[in-house]
Amino acid sequence: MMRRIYFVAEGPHDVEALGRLLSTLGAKRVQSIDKLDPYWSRLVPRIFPYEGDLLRRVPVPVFFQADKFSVAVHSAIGISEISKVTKASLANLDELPAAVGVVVDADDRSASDVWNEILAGMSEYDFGQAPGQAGVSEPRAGVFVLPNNESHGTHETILLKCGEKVYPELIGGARDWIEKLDPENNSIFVTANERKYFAKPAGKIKAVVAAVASVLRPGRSVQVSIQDNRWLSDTEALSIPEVAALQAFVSELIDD
Amino acid sequence: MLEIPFARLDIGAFRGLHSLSLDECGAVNLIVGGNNCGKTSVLEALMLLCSPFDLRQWESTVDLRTTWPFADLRFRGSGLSRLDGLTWLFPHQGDEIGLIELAGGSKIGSLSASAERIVGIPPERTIVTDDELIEGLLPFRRGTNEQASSDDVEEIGLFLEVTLQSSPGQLALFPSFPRTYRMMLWGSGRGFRGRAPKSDLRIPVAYASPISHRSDGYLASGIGRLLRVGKKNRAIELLQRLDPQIKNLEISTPTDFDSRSVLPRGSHPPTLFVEYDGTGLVPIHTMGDGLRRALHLAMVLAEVEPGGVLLIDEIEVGMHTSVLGGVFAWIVKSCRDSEIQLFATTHSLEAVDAMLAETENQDLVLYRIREGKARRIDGEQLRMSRMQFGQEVR
Repeated sequence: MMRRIYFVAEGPHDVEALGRLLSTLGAKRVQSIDKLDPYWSRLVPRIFPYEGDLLRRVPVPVFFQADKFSVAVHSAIGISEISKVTKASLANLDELPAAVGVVVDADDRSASDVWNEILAGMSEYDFGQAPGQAGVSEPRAGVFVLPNNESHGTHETILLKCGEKVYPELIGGARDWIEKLDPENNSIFVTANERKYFAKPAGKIKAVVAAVASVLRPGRSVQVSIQDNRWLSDTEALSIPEVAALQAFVSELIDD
Repeated sequence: MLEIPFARLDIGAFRGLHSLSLDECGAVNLIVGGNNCGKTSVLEALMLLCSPFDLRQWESTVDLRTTWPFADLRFRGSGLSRLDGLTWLFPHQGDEIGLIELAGGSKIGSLSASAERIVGIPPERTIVTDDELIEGLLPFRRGTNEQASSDDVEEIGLFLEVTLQSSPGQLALFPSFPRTYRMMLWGSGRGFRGRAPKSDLRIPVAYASPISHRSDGYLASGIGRLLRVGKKNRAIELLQRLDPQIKNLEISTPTDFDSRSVLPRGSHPPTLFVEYDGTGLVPIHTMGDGLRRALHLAMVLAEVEPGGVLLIDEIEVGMHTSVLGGVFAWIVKSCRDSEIQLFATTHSLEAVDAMLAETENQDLVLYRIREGKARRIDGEQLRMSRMQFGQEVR
């Protein structure tokens, strides 16, 4: 029997990272709606534009298919939307999936704080005893707080570690340049809007990752680089503890 | 939020449905699902639960699927007989007639009904007591000139036994539960048009089928009701949402200049006219489907007493998507003002979206019926699925 797993992640980069790890577990991305497991068809958007916004990205999940399981990975665009997106999506499916996985960034908060926030919004699910674990009740549910269910950080924290293994020269070069930049330097960052993202706690890490991604895939987004390059598929990258833990979390939800 | 008549609906068995529940009903409830999934059966179950001891309610429930408002008398004979229609409300397994089992989380409690085919000698006059109704015979057999009643002639009939039990927490309200009512009905039975027994066990209800707006006579009779309850202006307000040129509604007898008419001169029934700004009176017969449907919805809404239930099958029927929002806003406001709970089926995503736009999240629930089960989507989830993710929810 086909096992269905629903993942919701905080942003498109996380979605792509999960996709990469799912590929290592034998799943292939579904591009054609004809090949989509009909179970997920209700999650495919049918109208455009959404709320009249012509520029808004179509919020379609990314689907993956293997012989024995199929997966939808939804981007919630922010931790505050995770529970709403999950509840709305699961309510619209004809029956609950076998497992529900949530992947969020710790940012500058503690992992347990983030974990508790997710639990408070979705009290009907058994998320196990701690971040990174899965509950035993159906549907099995778990929350993975990036980077490692303990430390502060984001998805880019993991990508940076992967990059240090897989693209050491590029990461080193990008660091040399970006670490020297001072977000308070008004001659570089002229407007508040130019400064505010770089000045965030994860601003420099994200910039380093994005700089390397733009060397590997000039003019494209980080998620395209994750998809096309070796950030999360190289053997060395997969052996990094944070990546191995995330892969184990995904595997636990996929396995019967 | 208003106190709703049906907090939930549990269909243990009814027609082809088994073990289907609508949990946590809202003030406005949309029912979606594929063809033949049981959407109309859900409305019928609600209708029956609204007055389970009233034979007219049982007959009306059967009538919901007939085409009688068309007055298509030539073909009516091809439908089920009255007793067969009643029998098919019950679940069937081969020749076995099963029990109807319903509960509504309402003051009615839970209903259990059995049906048994019988043969017997009916009385000439209908006998009604607090516990039973035994139909008398019509003077003539239906559709013939043959005298129906004759001494000691056996008739085929149907014996219905309806029992109501209290739901949890209801004992204080209805200490005499369980209550049972028995109805002995005949193929040539005359029915019963008197006051329903035990009318304390009644929830006001009205029903709009997808086709009932197409009968001119039905619409004209409904306008009479609108006038009686002083709601004609509200109906005109609704029609103006479809066509701002509409000024008034009037009932009049048309001039008879057709020599081929089968009716005696001057004996045409009253006809409903719509008065247009500039054009004057135009018979409803010439109006489009949308106007007739809107008028019909205004009529059935006027039938429901406050605290009752309005059932609309295929709520989008006849109306262009551009007017759905205006019409639904009118319906939702009218229901809210009169504390009427709405259950409506639809096949239309535009109708779902229009209802979302006109209803508060906490009042709206969508149920999708599939493979005999109902999936509940609350207003907030529905708004997100449709407005943020543009998902299919039918």
